Amino acid sequence: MSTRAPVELDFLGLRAAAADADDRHAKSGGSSASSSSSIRGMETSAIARIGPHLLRRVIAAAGPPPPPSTAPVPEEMPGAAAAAAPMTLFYNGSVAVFDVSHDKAEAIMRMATEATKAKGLARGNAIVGNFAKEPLTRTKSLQRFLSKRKERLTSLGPYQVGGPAAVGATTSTTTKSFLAKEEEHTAS
Amino acid sequence: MGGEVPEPRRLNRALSFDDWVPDEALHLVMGHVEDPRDREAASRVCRRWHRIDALTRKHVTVAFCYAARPARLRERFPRLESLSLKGKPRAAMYGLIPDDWGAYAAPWIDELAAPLECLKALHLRRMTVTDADIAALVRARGHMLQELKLDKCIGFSTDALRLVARSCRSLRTLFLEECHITDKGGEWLHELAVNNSVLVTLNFYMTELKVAPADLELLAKNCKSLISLKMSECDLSDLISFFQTANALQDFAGGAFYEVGELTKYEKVKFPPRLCFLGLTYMGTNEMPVIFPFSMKLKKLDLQYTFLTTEDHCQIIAKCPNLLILEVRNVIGDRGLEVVGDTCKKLRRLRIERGDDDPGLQEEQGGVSQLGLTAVAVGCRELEYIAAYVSDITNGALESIGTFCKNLYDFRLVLLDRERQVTDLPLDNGVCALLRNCTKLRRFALYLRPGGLSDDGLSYIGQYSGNIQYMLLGNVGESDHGLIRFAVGCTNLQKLELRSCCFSERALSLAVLQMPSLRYIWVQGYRASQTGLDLLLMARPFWNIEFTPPSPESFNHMTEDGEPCVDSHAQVLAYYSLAGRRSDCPQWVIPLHPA
Repeated sequence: MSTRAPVELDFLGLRAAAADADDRHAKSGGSSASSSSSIRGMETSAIARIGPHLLRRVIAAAGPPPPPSTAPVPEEMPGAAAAAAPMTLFYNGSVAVFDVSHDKAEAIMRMATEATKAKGLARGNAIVGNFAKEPLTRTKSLQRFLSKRKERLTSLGPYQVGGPAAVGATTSTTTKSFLAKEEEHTAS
Repeated sequence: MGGEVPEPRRLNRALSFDDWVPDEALHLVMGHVEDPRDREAASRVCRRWHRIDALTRKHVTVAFCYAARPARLRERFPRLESLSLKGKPRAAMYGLIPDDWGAYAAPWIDELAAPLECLKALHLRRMTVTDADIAALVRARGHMLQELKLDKCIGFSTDALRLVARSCRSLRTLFLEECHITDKGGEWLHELAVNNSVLVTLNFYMTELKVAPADLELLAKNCKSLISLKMSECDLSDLISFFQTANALQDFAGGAFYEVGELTKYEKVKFPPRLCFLGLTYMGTNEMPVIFPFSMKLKKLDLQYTFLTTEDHCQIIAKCPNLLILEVRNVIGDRGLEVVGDTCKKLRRLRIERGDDDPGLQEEQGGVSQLGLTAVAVGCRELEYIAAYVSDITNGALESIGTFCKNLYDFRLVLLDRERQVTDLPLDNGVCALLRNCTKLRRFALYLRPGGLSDDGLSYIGQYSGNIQYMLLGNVGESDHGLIRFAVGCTNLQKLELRSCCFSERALSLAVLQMPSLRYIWVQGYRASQTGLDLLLMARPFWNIEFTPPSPESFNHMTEDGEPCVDSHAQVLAYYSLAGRRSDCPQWVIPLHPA
């Protein structure tokens, strides 16, 4: 298990760097509209489909993330993991990691899902009048597998936490990237 | 000849023919006619042929369990050896039909198990089967039963399986895939291992049943003929002895890698020498090399339940040039499908399921689009079955499938609603080209989004439906007119499922009346009329119409898994039936019929 954590962290770092590179390339293209769209080839999630204002409101409602200086020390790791764990947000081609409690993370995901549903419903109305679109579902066996898969991957979470320095570095790097994006939006 | 007096000469010739072919010869000839449609046609020639067909018919499929009465089946086909029954609408597989909807096996087993003296194979799909039903079946046919297939059934427990294991010693096939079975202990498998020595196929895949590896080993020891085992999850390292014993095994699925990253535990796993069908659960990057030694021999690979990345898929598939069947999630990506197209020249069946939508889990990346589908169409020209969930699609890709995959008999495409932009909509011309070129197509499913297919495209589907017997269409068409034009062209369509379309009740009714071969239609998502009575425009003799109103949020039906049905929109089911109206409707299903 201990050998897995560095790989995961490197992966996140690589992704953040790639996102930055793509973002700069888009900006050099000269079109601010293209820079706001999701990076080509990168998957978008429920959160990414929300507008930036709505996402800020969602996160604010869930409570501000604690500052990086509160990164847990090794002796407190088990307790810290229970109280607050890293939550990774993929948003518009950027990656941000917040230390939030489990309850707050659930609240964020719930609001994101509701916002996405509301948006989908609105779109449906626009196209076919007052007609709600039924959700696409998976076969039951695939649903069960994906649910178990999530459980297994989530349970790996605590073991992914490496040294405090690594965690701090990753958090600050990705947070900066997220903040930079926010500032840019404010400026425009 | 109605009304005409037959010429004496013609009458003589007819009589001569009748006398010339004895019943015994006709028995033999009929016995070699196996296509059910040919049988049906032969049975209509005259009363004599009807009777001889009835006596020689060995297998019957009842496509919908409410379409006929069990007693009538028994009277007509008294020497049946094999019977298949289908129950709930297909939507039940997706959690759209509550479990107490019906499709009970009891009336069929009660009526048929004892009198059908030749019956040795029974296949039930999406039905409600109780322990008592299985007990009745075992009491009547236990000594004769060779095949028992319960496919996606619910309602029974391992108590019933113990009874089967103890009493059905001639059983060669026990198929329980994706059934919901109440687990009351693993004794059933031990009983099966002890009492059976002729088992060839055992399948309890995706059932969550717990079994003891020692019982599997005992089974392999006693059943030298065991060729196929698909089981629920069991740590692969506990199956080493089983694999050593099961020398004849060719088909295996269900072993799981429980210890991620602990490869040393699985290094000792050695698969049987003839294994060529494989599906392993939770296999990840580190566990993948387990199958490299025999990847060249693999004909079927099921990667739907793995932890593989796109890159992993590329690596594995590049080593499997002899695949005939491949099942994956869309994590395979377009790159993986390019490897499939380059490598798997013999591929017949390809299924690309929808994976997780949450990119936060690192393993899930990529998606399938026109790039991957085109690569597969160009590279795998023997394909007969394609089912794909895609994130993006173009007319060109569908045209490529039409151009290169001439053997296609089953094509299913779902356009996921996740991506905002789709490259090339509507898909009218692509669908038209595919249907015109794939003349062997029997089943066709197209589930898009609003704007994905115009009325013209819908008209093309009808016009070029050819011999297609089953269709599922979602989010297609723009107006009632499109549906009518579609229906006019569908001369051979027997079963139709429509979802999330904008058609009115009146248009649905008129469409039903336009399709001469239609015997079953299921609809969810349509434009309801004020009274809901426009559906009665499709009323006719022997045609049942059942309406399920949208359910209030507080009145959610629970499935046996404990999850609520995922949506609560109204459903309409209408079908031909010789059995009359259902007598076992739950309260929330409303039969519609003229006053």
